[in-house]
Amino acid sequence: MLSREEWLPLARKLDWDYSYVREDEVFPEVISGRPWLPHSEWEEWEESFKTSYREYVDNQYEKDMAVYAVRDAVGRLENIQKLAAPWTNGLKVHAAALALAEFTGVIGNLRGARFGRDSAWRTMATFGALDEYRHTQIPLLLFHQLVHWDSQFDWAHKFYHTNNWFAVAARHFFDELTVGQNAIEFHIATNFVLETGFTNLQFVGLASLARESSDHMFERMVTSIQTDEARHAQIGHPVLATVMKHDPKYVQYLVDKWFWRSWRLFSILTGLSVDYLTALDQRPYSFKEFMEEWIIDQFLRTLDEFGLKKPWYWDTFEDELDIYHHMIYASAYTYRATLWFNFVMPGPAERKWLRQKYPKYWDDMDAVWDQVSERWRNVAPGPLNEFAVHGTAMPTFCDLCQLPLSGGTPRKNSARVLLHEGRKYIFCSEPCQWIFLQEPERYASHKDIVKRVLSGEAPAQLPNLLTEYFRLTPDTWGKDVHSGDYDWLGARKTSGA
Amino acid sequence: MVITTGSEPEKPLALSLKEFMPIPLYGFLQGDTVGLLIMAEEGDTVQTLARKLQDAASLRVAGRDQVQVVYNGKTMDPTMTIAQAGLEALDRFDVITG
Repeated sequence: MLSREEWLPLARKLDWDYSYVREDEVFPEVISGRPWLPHSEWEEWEESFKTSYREYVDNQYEKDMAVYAVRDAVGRLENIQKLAAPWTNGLKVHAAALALAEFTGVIGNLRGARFGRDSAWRTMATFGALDEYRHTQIPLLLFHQLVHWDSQFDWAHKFYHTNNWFAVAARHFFDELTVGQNAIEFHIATNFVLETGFTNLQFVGLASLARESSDHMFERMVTSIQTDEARHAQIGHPVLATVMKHDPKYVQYLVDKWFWRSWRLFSILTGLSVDYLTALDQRPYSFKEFMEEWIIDQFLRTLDEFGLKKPWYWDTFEDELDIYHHMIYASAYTYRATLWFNFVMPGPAERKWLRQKYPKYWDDMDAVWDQVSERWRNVAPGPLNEFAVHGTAMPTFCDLCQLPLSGGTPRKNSARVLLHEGRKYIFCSEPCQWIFLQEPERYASHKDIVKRVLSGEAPAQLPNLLTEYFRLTPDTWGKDVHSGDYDWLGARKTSGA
Repeated sequence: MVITTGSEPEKPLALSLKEFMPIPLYGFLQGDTVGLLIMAEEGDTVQTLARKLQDAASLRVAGRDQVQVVYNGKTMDPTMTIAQAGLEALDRFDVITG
């Protein structure tokens, strides 16, 4: 009987020559990806985990049992109800954005499992697909039990099935990254850029915040997920290394494109939780500090190891670290009914901390919060007055990332209009416009929320837009966690509740 | 498009529908955190346009009297209509502190 060391390499590296069909028919470029290379260029493909299916199943079983045990011990409703209200609203962001995004990762990995160019790659991508299926099911399981307590948690299931503006942006991102992507671009973009860089923010960073916030269920969940990510993220490195030998310019383009696209989405997903939805005394670091450690230090080192340069817009990115997610949070707070989670206004202590962490532009953000605070002072606190402290004009969105036009700084918004083949497009930033112009045929026909409203596809009136198009209800649309009732606002009119 | 009355089909009204069609514009108010869609009318003055944007953003940015409208890098005369200023649907304009 063969030992493990004898049979595993044979099982993992099971490629053969085709006799009745050409290799480029088995692996068409359109779905395997470019550059199309004969298998001889891929046969050295290797990764370090070298897991067998049996080992994979045994490991995953143990991890699942550990998650169940933690759920039974500290994941009950009474445990969740003890958490700070802003934190539970951060959970709603992740519950919605994470679960079905992971499911799109199943599809992307299955594409690699069929159209990856070496059998070891295909084996690993099969495990990757199983991982992502697990990452779909765990949050659905854990968050669904909370629906009867708080209906906003229903968005774990519902989010991607709506035309909520943030769902449109997230779908635009994940559809391109995973669902409609060829195997090479999928594995470089997802494994190398997203999982080597940004999911560390989501899983490692948020795990430590969850620990500080005493949310041991969420901490355990994301830590368990991260152990899978660390393994299947390894697929991207040997894919990238092979393509680098033949078309380094293309690899640089993919890295530049996907780093920016990932930054845009994750600055919101993670940035808002770290700097606003975590209680001040439970924040071990700022979002920017975490980005500096995980992205600026570690990711740049990885790029250097592969002979890649930092993306051409790096100065813009570094500048945005000080301001972009703050612009988004203030904008979203003032349009909170367009989202499915609740917000908190930063008070004097939070703003002092934010000024310390983000001195470069905080004066401008402080002026915005002064103005919003003043509005709450002038109306009575209470749920009935939510819409008196809410935007009424239509906010605008980028034609590439589909996120609000909140690029640049409050003094100088970086939005730019482009006339392309007779149609006007607007982008939040130069990198978003650059990505569009690299493959306009890929993006040009997609309509952002504003264009849908203008074309009559979506309702123009805010109440109809919220209920009919964004699929929100008075119970589920976002509110101020405290209904504007903050001690630090001082004496005001009597409650309007 | 020209509106005509039923009783006097041969005599078109002096007003065209175009004058009533709102023109969607991307407005960026200095100090604000997001661009807003402003529905302007062709006959609106640049000053009116600035006021519309300031009103729309007033939850986040305090109103100011002395402002300028910048379009295509140039400061617009506040008394001009937006048609005279050359603003067209889905253009960007900025309102900055003067």
